[in-house]
Amino acid sequence: MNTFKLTIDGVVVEAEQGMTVLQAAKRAGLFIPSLCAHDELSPYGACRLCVVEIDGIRGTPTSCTTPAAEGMVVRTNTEQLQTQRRRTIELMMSGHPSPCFSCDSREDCEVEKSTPTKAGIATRCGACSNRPGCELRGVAMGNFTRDIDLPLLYSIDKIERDDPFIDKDHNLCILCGRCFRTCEKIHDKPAISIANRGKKAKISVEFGKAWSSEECRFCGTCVDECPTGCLTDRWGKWFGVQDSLVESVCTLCPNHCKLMLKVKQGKIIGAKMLALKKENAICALGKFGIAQIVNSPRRISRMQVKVGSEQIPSSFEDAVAKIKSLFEESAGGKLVISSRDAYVETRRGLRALAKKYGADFVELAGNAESLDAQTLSKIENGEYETVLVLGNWLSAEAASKIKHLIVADFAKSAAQKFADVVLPLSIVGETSATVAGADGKPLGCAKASEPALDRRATFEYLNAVIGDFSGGDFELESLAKDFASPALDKKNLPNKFLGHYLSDFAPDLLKLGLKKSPEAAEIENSKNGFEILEKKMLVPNFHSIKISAPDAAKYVKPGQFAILMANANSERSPFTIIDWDAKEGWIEFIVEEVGRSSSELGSLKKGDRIAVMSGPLGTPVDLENFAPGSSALLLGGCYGIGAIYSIARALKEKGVKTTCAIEASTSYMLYFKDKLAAVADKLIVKTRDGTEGTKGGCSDVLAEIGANFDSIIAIGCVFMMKKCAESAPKDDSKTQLCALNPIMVDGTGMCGACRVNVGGETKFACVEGPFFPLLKVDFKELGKRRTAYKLLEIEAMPRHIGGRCHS
Amino acid sequence: MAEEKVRKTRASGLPRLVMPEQNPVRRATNFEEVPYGISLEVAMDEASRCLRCPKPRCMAACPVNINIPQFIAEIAEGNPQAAAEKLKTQTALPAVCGRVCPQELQCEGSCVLGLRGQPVAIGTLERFAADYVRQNKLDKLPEKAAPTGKKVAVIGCGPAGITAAADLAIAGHEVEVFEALHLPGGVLMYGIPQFRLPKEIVAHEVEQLKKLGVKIHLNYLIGKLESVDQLMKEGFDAIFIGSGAGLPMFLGIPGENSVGVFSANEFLTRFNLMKAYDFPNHATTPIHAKHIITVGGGNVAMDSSRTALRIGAKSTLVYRRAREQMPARKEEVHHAEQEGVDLQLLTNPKRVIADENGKVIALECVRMELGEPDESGRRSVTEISGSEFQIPCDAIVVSIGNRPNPLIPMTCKSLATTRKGTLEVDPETLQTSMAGVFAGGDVVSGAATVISAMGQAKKAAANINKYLRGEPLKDEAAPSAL
Repeated sequence: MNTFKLTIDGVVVEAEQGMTVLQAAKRAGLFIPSLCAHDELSPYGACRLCVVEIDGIRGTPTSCTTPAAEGMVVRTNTEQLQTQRRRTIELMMSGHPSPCFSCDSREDCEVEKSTPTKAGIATRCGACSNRPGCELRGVAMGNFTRDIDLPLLYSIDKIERDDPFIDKDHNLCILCGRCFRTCEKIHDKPAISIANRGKKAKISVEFGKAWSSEECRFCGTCVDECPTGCLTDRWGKWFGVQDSLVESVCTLCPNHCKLMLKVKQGKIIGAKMLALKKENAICALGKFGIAQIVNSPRRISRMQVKVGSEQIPSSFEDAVAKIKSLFEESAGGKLVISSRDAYVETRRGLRALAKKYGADFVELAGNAESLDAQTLSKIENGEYETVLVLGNWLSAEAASKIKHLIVADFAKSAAQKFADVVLPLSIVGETSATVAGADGKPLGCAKASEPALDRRATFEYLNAVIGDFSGGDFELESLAKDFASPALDKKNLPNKFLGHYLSDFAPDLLKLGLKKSPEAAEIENSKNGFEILEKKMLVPNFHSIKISAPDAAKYVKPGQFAILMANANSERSPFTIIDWDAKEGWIEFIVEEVGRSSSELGSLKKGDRIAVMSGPLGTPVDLENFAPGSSALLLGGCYGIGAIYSIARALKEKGVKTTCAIEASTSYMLYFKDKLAAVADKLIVKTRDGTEGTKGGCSDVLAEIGANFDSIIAIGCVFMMKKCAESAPKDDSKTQLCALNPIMVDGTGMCGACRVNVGGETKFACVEGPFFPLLKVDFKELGKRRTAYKLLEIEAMPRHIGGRCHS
Repeated sequence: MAEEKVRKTRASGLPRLVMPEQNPVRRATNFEEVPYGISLEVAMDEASRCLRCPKPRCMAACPVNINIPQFIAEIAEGNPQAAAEKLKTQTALPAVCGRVCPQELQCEGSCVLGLRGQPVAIGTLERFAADYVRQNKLDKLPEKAAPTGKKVAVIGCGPAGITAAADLAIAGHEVEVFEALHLPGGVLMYGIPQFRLPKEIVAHEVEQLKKLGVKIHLNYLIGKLESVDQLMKEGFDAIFIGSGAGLPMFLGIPGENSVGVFSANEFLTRFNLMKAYDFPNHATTPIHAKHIITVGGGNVAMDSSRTALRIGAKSTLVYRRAREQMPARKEEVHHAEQEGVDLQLLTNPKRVIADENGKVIALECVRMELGEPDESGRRSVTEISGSEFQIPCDAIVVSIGNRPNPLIPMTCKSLATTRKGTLEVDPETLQTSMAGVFAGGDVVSGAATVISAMGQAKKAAANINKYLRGEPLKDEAAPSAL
């Protein structure tokens, strides 16, 4: 290959023919910031961060689209280029939800909230699932000041959640074009491209239809290449960035595609293509299905052996001994049912087992509808005394006709109830084993994650039962013929794996046309409960929900909360009451989407019902502490903006001179300004990025003017209240309160989950709270207790289409 | 009850039945009920063992005065339905009592057969009769008296509330029950685990209560909505408070607010009421721990330590006194040990040790020794100095008792309370310091048993009847207080 030399920032570097200036710099270890550029994709020149100055070339060309040439003299970091890049970042940030980028408390806040809030809409980095992996954030924070001079153009576009597996938040898109260049590279004709122009430009399929109606195959590669949080894996996104990538093989269909499994803390959280090359393309099942199937609550994990009439959890040795004795001692008919989507070792082993004990042998395609009629009728006639079945091929009725049944499976099935032995299996990514490649050659599958509890591969059990069978009588080549059809076309995706409907594990597959298992349960919507009279999204992720509750509405007082459950399976979670009317019989809540329970509530509509509303709860604000004519400062952040409203109104009625200060990350997250202005003598607005009111937060207000007030109440997230406590006047004679919102279970003083440390004493926030002296609360302990279930809360997230609020 | 005929037959002299149970290894991995139940034949054989004493000691020992020989005689005759109807005249919850009563201290403990051999399995027979009618849908509602036009409010839908509500409805009053949680049943729902008391049974008993015409308001926390005074003003003629003992006690040792320290109430509520064992189908998060230490020696501690096993953890129980002093039912301790709970007796927690994230990593304990019995006859315990040691763990369940929730007396100043936070009542009538307001169960006695709560509730209901008829409450000797 021809090489030549050029000079970049005074360094003479060598480049190869066909390289761009950016590639030449990168090869020489020189850093030029860039976002749209990608080694495997065609040059595009969209983000304009990689601009350089080149002698003899006018202006500032983008280094990613400029071919390197012999003798070029390139400068990458002049003052003019820096200014230009800063402007570029500012332009991107003005249309991107960027308040965390400009916030002065960012570093402190991110220590406090080490993982992003599981919000429905990414209104800032702190509410974006891609915060840990965001390239835009990385480039911006590494190279630019946090001040943005340009006006905010954030458009609050609707989040698209109607497509399987992929959430699309166009607010985060920087139009880098990686997604459609990826799509073009892998699939020739891209399903997606940029529609519209200027401010309205966005990635879309033709005519803005749902992706699933078009060419898109949901291979998900665009999600992996998206530098921001615009395209995300609905199921896996909150787990964050993987610790490692393990090269392995997808065994869910006979194509046996090689891919990379994403592993975090020993858990498979996703998959991606081996490399961004056409020949490495994978399908929706490989990309999104594997993690959902491997982590499904339908999996089984314990070996069971029947003793008497009971299945008892047993050891490997007991299970093996039982299988041996059943096959050795059984005088009647024997049958071994195998499945073609099992590992080669397993299939060999099952054949060897059948041969050794003279059993009939049936092998089904993993995707087969059911057993053949002949075998089935033999089972139903009771002709088989001992049967070993791999996968879900026997109905409860058929299983009940078998005297001795051994079931090897990875998930629950109807037949297991009748089994003498149940063997829990390890599957994709949990076993080191062999499958047949499409070329008929053996293909090794690497283990990426340790299988939980008793799970093992079938061949491990068989090896112990019949000894070594590696020389078994079958040819890999003959097997290769079984799987000719590439499943990349979504129409060819298999419906089943080892006899189980895949849509039971990943319901979004139904949208790709996969079959539904006949037993699949419908989620019932409650007919009982409290009717929603009105529901509004005040700002992204914040909803006001007004419900009919005539009994309770008579007793609400300012500052109280109630426990809500969207449906019978929800958690009992506390939400603050912001308004009520005893005569009309309604109560209104503020609901901030931060996880499963709140997003379930957020997804309800007017006319729907909330299964449980238990309240009002908590001790209301003691209005006796606020004398008429005295002055009060109410501070509200996020849900606290709603929470201080009813208190401000009550204080106004009492003749207290009230100042309300509200803070939000940015202008588009402010709400209730008019409502608060109507009940307060003065309203102070603060935003973290300075896009409305003055820059800063409530703690700054407190530091500036807190000393002038007789009483102070602060309501918001733990971080906001902690900051307020730090800057509040250290004066015990004032009434200074905060309203705490710890994890609760019952909310009536029964469980103690909500206990908080106030001045060295343990208090129950649900009964003795939520109001406590601001200066005495141990916020550090509260913060730790609030985040105790972080990982489980991610697992609990609703992850199928329609599982979350659509606005 | 003298007029009721008790058939005289010779006792069979058969050995006591053995209740078939799930294998301990198996059951420690599931939430299914431990005993399997018995067939009619086995029940009849067991019932035939009863001597049918003319002065049944078992009946005297029953807090709700069930005519035990009579219902057993019906089973012996092969009439489980008749047996269940007899039971229903004295207990609203036979299927529950048959499972959770401490029979060895009550009926079975007094059985004459027990003096020289094994007592009749009265609890098992009670359970059998109740299960039989439920499973075969043969339930009959007790007959209700003519409407009295009086309205009674019952606060709390646990064992005491259900018992009082049933008795009051049968007496012809209009009864409304107010329950704070979203499901009725109280401790039967949130506290006692599925493997000891399947929730379908509680739901069935509550259905029966509704069929008696009792109205149940859920999510209705008296004290936060109406107070007790307000209920009286709203037209209730009498009130029964059966709000239980729902306020968990903590150890008061350093580190107790660390992440991973739970009250037994929280731990059990997560798994029972909120079904966290079915996570993520049910959204309430389970406790993912490898080693859970339960502190305490009562039935609730047994329930907690056995639940810990079932969620896949190693389970250790720490109790400061010796086995003989454990307040738990013997059967529960036996079941716990059988399933693999490691009992650390004469061991007292000193402090909780947490890592830098505030998460529990160990419990520091000290060994104790038994001293002389104190005035109450309970032997005191003292620390063995220098015997401190640490047990590594990642969750701790504190199960050292509960107190009544202060909400009701806090919001109704005319209700007098004791130093322990229980309601002050006249021990004979169970009337509180407010006329027309009666109370029973744990809110009066502090944390006790389901059956003692039911016994008090029956007594209170009887006195409410008198009160509503305008009769004096104390004109005749009441049965001995519990």
